[in-house]
Amino acid sequence: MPLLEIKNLSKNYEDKPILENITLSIEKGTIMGIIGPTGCGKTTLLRIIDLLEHPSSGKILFDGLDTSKSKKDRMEIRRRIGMVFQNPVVFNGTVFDNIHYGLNIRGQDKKSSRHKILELLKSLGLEGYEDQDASTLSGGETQRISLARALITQPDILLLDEPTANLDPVSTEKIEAIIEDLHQKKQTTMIIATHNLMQGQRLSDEIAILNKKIHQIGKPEEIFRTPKNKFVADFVGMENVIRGKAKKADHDLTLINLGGIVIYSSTPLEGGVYASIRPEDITVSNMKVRTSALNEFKGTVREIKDIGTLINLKVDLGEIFTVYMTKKSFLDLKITIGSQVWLQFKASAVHVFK
Amino acid sequence: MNEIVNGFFQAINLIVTLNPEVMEITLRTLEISLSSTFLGTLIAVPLGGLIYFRNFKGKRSVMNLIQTLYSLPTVLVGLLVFLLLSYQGPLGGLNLLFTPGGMIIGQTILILPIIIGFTITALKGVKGEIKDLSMSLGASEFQTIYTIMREAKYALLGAVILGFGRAISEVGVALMIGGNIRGFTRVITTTMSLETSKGNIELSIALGIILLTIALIINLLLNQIQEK
Amino acid sequence: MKRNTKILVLAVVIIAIIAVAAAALSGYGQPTQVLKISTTTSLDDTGLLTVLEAAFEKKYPNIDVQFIAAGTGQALEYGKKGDVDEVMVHSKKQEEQFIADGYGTQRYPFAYNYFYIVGPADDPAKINGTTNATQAFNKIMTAGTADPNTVKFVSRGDNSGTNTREITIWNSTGVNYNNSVRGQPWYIESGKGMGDTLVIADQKSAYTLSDSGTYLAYKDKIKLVPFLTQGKDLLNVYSLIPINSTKFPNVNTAAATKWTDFVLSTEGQTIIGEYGKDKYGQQLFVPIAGKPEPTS
Repeated sequence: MPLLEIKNLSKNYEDKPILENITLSIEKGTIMGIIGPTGCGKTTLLRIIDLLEHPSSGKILFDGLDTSKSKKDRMEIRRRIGMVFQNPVVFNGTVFDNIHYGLNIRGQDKKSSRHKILELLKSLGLEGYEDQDASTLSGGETQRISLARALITQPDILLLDEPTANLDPVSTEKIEAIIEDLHQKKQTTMIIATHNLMQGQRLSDEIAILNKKIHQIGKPEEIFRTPKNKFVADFVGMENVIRGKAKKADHDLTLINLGGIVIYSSTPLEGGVYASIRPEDITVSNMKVRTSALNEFKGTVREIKDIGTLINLKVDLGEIFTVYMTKKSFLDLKITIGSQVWLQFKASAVHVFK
Repeated sequence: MNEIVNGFFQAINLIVTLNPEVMEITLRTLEISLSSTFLGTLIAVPLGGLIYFRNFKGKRSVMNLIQTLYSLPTVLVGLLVFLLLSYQGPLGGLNLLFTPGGMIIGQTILILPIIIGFTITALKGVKGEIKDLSMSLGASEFQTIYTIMREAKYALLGAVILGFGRAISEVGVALMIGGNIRGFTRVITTTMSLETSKGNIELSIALGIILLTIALIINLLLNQIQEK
Repeated sequence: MKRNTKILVLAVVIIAIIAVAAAALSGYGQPTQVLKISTTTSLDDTGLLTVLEAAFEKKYPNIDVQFIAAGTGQALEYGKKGDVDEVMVHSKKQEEQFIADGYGTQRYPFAYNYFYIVGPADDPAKINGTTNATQAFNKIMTAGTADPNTVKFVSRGDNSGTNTREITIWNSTGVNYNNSVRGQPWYIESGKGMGDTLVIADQKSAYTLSDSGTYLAYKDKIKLVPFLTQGKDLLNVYSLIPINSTKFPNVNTAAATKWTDFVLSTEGQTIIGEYGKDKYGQQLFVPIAGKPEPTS
């Protein structure tokens, strides 16, 4: 049984839809990344999961328990969930008081919790902070205090809303290390909402791309390799995404008319589609090379951009394509703006989606 | 002019020599106003909390009414409470007219709106995130309210001090309900307003200085609190 | 926190109970009995009542006498509501009505003195030498009407005993007070107690009617001088009236009777007759217990 199951959940504010038909399930011990642009409904989804808000429709089952029951039941379930908010606030008082809060309302006094709290502070690299006034801490420290405040009650699941959005790189690294540590050593189940795709990919077992509705759920590499639609493709930074019309050809091949050119694809999808070719799957040369690649086009170099170890070219084949090449081969080929080059890619490198 | 200067020096003399009448009146004033502040706080802070935390029809009108009542005329409260406590009034049987108890009731009514109003303002000053945070950490509704109140404690204290300031400086209720009875209901303001006509200028000035000092202390306290 | 909250709530409740109990005790469950007397400010202002109270409480230590000072009108109002046990006032007509209406049992005159007509030493209305109050008021009215900038009169205007007497004198001049006096440019109503009214009259160089006690207490602070200090129409009789216990069963009749008896006793009357001699150098009140009420 999954620890958390969300079924057909929707949320409207007044008549404005914020979340539409969300269905998700999270297994114990895994990390789910909820990734989407700002304003996509990440925070609302986390607040609903934390039972701070009611969904407009749909169901949430926590450990098999229906969460739409009485106030008291909701509080009991909420006590098994920890949440770290995007803009962490602190209660008036010391760091110790802040972390003790969750224990305090569960009836544990300061004396008996002291050891536990000091241990936790130590594990988060906050040793000796216990007597500091919590309002004097830096952003990164406050974020770690919030994490400690949520962790002290050993929640079954931890919700993190943009855990590093407002932090400097050093603090971000610390927080990510803590999350990985929790995952590996304590098998803590977590949901991390972030707009940062790379972070989501680094930390999560599975990611869900959210923009009002969930566009795709899966392993990170799956989503990067095979985005299901234009939104996901754009969001994951897919290049060379071009709209076209697909028609069946022979030998399990499909022909896709992109307007300026026609390309082969091995995906058996027909009609109006998007085709996308990852730049690293395209080879560049100054003459036609014999390969097994079915797609071969000659074009004119329109733009050259040095992006560090690689050179980014924009080549006009009738459609503008983005390709990468190493600095060495770039110099070997003596490419300048206006040079004629050949681009080649396999039919299987063409990713097609509706 | 001479009279003022003379009166002033004699007043200082009354204060530094701890004149028993001055001390007695001051202590009684503090006793009565502190009692009404205490009672008022006991009623007004939970009431303000209730108004702030609950949503109900006409909430806005209630808040407007409360703000209007900040400047409730003291003589009007005096009159109302007088009619209530008078022997033939509905509460006449309690025998509270012309007693400190009656004055405490009157002053409590007088300062309720100000404490309720500033309690609401104090709670509004607590960040909305605090409510989510405490709920998220597993607090019950009551625990959440308690947490928010605790976060607002300095502003709440400010509300209480404002109430005390109004209670101690008013004269309408004290005079109409207390009757300015020597050694029983005579407080700083009633003494000042009525004893002057007896030619007791020095006493009035001395009490005026004391009242001013109390006001100054209240202000300092408020400033101190607001800085927190 | 659960336990902490409980302790906190408990503490608040305990403190509240103590506070309410203390407030109630200080007002109402007093260990001694209380005698509440509403009285006129002019009587209270002289300080006589404090001396009488001290002597009385020495004799009856379990009775706490409390004076509520107001104008005669207000003092009688308190009596009419049953909020006091006894009144001490100085307005014969109102007093007789008060008893006729059944609020008071009986009128006990205990002392008298005279109202003073006082004014600026240069006497712009030339009232010096007049033989009665009516004559003097007539002159003030004539001179005031002719030259309201120089001749003025300040009235209490507060329905007090002094104010009532003043109006009676105006009416005895043969004019209608409301038509020919009130609202005239030379006639000022202060709406204040006697002391304040004297100060106002002094600052405006105006005439006024004052009870002798307050005037003597203020004599050194103001420049006004007395012109008329005697006569039938300035006679000022103070009386005691216990409140009718059949009408208001709550009144402390026993204590009121003790107070009445004490004020009318030789001891009380001696205190009244001696009062003011050391402080003002002259007698303020003439005791009249057991004697017929004076007529001039």
